[in-house]
Amino acid sequence: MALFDAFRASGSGMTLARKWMDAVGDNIANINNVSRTDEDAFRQRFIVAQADDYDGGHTAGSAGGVKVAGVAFGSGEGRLVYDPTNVLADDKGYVKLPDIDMNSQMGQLIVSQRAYQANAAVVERARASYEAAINIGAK
Amino acid sequence: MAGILPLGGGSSALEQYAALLQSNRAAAGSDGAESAGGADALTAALAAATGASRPTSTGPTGFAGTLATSLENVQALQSRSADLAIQAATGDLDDIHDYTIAAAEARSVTEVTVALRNKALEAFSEIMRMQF
Repeated sequence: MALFDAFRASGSGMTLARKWMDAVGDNIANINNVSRTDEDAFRQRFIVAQADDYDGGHTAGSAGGVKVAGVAFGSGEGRLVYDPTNVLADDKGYVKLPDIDMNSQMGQLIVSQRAYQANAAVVERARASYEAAINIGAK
Repeated sequence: MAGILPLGGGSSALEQYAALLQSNRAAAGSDGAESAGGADALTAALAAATGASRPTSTGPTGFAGTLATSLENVQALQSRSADLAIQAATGDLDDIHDYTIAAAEARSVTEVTVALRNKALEAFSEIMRMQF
């Protein structure tokens, strides 16, 4: 419905931002996981965003917006940390930690939060605009 | 039309009006082409007000039909909003904004329909107040 294309597009943006926040939350939750050196470390999760091509809107077609094309995972190689007292340490005293940068995750968290808020602001402005249109000529 | 609860007084008026339209359409169906229903008078009033030379039409192509169709749209959006509200209550809702956006859509489209009805009634009353 062309009347609410702004809602649809911004709603898809909010869904994307929410999924991004979910991924960041997962990454931060697992950032201190320790693994043996002969197994994979926790793999960082990425959300792959893709534009939902606008095709007129007036028909039942797409109203634009964005969609989650898929999920990508980082390397399971991790980084080796010398920690001989750890129960998971190998013969040489090394364990494996996920190769996730906390600074990057916090940055992504802020950006995804702002993206969510920005899309919510678009919905609100669009709604206020429609309301103004309804009130034209009202006593 | 239990879905339009938040609108308060407007909802029952809308409901009554929809019922009125339905009965008028039924009357038009039984009497054939000749119908003196209020909705047709409204259509005539609209045509007169906009200077349209098109003869007044009866049945679903007139203003009554337009309004009935838009009411169906309103109904669909209201029920979608209600479904999402239930999902929110049962914990099945994935995205909060899915519900709030659906509710905003339903509210906006209801307001448009009510505004349309009010404008048409206003035009009709204006003509009824005319001095002969």
